[in-house]
Amino acid sequence: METPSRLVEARADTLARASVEAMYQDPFWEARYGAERARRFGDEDARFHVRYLVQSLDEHRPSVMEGYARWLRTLLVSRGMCTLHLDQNFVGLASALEADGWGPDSEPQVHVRAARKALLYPDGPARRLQDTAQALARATTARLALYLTPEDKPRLEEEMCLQLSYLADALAEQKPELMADHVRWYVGFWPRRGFGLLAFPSVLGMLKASLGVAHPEARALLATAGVSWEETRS
Amino acid sequence: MEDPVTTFRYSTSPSEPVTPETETTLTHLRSRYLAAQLAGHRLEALRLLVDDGVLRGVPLQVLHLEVIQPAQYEIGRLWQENIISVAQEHQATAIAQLSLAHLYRHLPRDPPNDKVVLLSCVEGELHEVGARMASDFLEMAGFDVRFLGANVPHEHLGRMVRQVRPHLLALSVTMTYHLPALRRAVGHARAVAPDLPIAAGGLAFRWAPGLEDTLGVSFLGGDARELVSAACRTLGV
Repeated sequence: METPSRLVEARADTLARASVEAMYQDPFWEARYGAERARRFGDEDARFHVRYLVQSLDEHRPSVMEGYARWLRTLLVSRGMCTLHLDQNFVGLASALEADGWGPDSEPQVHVRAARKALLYPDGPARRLQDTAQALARATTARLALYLTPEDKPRLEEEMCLQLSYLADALAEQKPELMADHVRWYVGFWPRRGFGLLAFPSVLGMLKASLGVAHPEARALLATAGVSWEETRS
Repeated sequence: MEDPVTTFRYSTSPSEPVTPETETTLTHLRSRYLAAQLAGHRLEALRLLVDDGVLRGVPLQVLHLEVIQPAQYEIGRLWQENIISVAQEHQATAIAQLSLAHLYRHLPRDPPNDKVVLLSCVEGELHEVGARMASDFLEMAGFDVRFLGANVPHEHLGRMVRQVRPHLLALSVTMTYHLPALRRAVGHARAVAPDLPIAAGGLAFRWAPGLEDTLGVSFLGGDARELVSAACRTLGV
């Protein structure tokens, strides 16, 4: 009988393609990296995820996927992505595996879950932010409810999770410039998210308010990265 | 952009006591060597290692482990964090290779112990700086080393084992996805020489701790010094 690693390996290309299909629906990738580069590197990364999964399965050691996830995160975060993007890649891979018949308790799924878990930072300000991201996203969206249609609310919550992921990465890496660079680029991209009159600086301002006293480090870092209303309107 | 040189930090510590003066000298030397690597100045990199290192009495082992190796780790980090490009990383690595080759003839060598070690990177593995450094350390300890370099097909490795009849085979693997190649290499070597002690080492093991227990190898050479100690113990020298 074929082992899980050989079965996954035999379906590597199909799994890799399926894992990133949903990702390409997001205009972020094309806008951020250009159509050709986004596809080339996105496809390449997807194939590497499967390749390392096969390796992890070969050795029956989720630690291979864990090490890969942490190593790759540093690489991608330095190139304008955030932890959530990588996590979404792994979610896409888990979905592709599921569609191929691998149930939640199967070895490949266990290894992908290990990789996702490895993306949680050790205890500290970044981890606190990761642990409370969903709640903070909901709270921020609720504060902005007057500007949103009911359909927009879940989309804005997703947006907030993305911004919080960038913030957590900048905190964990102790590199405020990661957040500043991201904000500078994202402010130009924001209109394509289709939130009407809701401006990006206003959203970040509300996010800062939601961080409150529970996340002083994140709040301070976001304050240094924020784009002012005047700057975006000048 | 972050200045790679001023952010250069080291975590390794020499096994011998280090005075503040020697540490300062080494720190300075490391920074200048790394700067030369990043600038692509081959001659300057070699001049630093020889004039400011060897000729000032810095032991070769210290130059390997406290200058060249940490500089390579730093080069890797700078690429990973998008501070330097792949081309710059390759340029710097080429300088490290050149440096090791240049220092080779200066290696202090213990008297020969008449033990032959065959050292090779597994098939597909292109990262050979660590293996080359391990070869130099084994040679300094008096071993007769046959270094095969990067990406050696396992069939040819098997033939080499049959031909050379080494006392120890040491296999290096850096990328985890070459671990299957390591298993194949071990298998081929075992088929030719069932009782041959085999050591494995390299960065691939950092993501799979304890893996050596499942490989059928004699021991894990975590770094160059560890490999030499284990080789001496295993071969009784």
